[in-house]
Amino acid sequence: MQNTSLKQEFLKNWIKGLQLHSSFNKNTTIFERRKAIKLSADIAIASTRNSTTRWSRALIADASRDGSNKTLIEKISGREVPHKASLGLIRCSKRILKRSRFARRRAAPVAGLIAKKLVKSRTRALKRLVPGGEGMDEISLIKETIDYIVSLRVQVDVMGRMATAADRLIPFKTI
Amino acid sequence: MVARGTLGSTLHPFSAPSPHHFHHHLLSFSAFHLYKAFYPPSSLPHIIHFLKTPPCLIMDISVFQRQKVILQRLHCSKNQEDRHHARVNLHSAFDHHQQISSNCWRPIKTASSATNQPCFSAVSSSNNSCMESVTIPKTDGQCNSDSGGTVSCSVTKRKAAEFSPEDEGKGKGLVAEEAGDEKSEITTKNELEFSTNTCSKEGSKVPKPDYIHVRARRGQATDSHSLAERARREKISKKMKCLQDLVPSCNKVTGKAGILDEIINYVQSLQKQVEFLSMKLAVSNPHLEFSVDDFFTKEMPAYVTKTPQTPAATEFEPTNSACFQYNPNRGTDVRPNESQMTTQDAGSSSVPAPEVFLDPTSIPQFLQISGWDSEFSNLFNTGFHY
Repeated sequence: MQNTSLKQEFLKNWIKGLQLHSSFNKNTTIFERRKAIKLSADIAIASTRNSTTRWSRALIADASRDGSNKTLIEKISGREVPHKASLGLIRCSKRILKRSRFARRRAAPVAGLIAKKLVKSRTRALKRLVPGGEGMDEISLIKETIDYIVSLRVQVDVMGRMATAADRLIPFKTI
Repeated sequence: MVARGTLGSTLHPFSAPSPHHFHHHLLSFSAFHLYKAFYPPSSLPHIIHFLKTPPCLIMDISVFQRQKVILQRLHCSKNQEDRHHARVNLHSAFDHHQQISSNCWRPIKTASSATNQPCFSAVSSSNNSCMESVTIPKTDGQCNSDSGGTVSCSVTKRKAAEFSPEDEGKGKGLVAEEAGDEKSEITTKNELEFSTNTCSKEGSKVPKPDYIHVRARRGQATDSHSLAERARREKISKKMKCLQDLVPSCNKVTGKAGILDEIINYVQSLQKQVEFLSMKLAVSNPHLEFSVDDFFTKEMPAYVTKTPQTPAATEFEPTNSACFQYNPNRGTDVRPNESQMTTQDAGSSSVPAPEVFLDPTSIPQFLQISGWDSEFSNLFNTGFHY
């Protein structure tokens, strides 16, 4: 299975991130911990892709926007944080996309209008869900969605196993 | 009688005074007057020539018969002369016009039937109306000889060629132009197709796309654009099929919107699961110490490598997703199941979990410790809206 190597890599990255986080700040609330876990998991799953996909790059860029997470990202992914230039590029492409969309087709058939509107609204929702999907066209959006779903499955699987393992450990500690 | 004779002698000095002759001349006189009434004065020499013919030929017939014979002969001579004239004029023209001059009825009809021209039919009608007057075919022949058969034909052809596009253009807007555009588009399309085919042959891996149904309307994008659009749509549908296979329970749904709905729901549920698991981990590890790091690093790869074989992994996801969609009580109900499953896994790997913690009574304690309920409800109230 190709997923096993992916899972191992994700786990390695994630635990690295968690260790870093725990070494930085000791006493934290439950929300901070949750945020840290999620962030490290996201960065770990994104770093498994080696920034070959757009969603992973967008995820890392979103995480690096805080500024405080930069060291975490650099440690986990072992790579420089991408600059803002890439984001600007994406925005530019988005603008072009929008213009071209408006320039096209004036008189659409009346029957297909509703279906087109539905598909458009769904596509917009999917663009919002997939990280960095706002600036994508339809083909790349679908490609990225496939990749994102695969990696999300890996993430969920590993995290679930981690959670169950931790579940077993907590009562053991408290006792 | 005398007065008549004098009148006849004065009029015709060459006639004989015999009563027969006189009678004959009287007849000829009346015929002359008749002729004068019908024919122009230019044909007078014909009459004179006719009257010089010996009267013995027309001796023993009644007056009316004689008159009839005279008129027939006159008409025949005139006709013959006209025929000759027309033959000279129409020598280079088409054949049916020669026939026109010979007898007026049939040839014109054949002409009108042969070339469906309105002008010919008009000529035939005029010929019908004044059949006796032979001047009409003559003029007709002249005018036709002027224009020339082939020339007139070509003219009519050109006229037709001019007419039909004009009519179409006036009738349907810019059909002719459109047709021209379409023709040019078709040719460019063919060229493009050819070029793409050659490209695919050169590439030898690219599947040859079928562009037969491509039809660009006026005002739409040009051909290369429409071809690109078609290729793009094909690619999208292929990817969508791939995605449909990936996402569970997406095969039953038809339509792009439905598939996208399913995909969105699946991605949302996965993201929520990640969130939930991170929450769960945050709760279960109060200090994020991970003093058991060595345990994880030892155990988790074993988990990961084990997962494909164990059927518990398939059970794991549905229970989890079920607990996402409903209230936290449901999730707590599910938990013993999960813990049993993990013990099955863990039993094979390294650390045997104590049986005490499989007891459901340990769960309320756990919930009380972490203040689980409020956050859990918060997690589920924040949904995705689109």
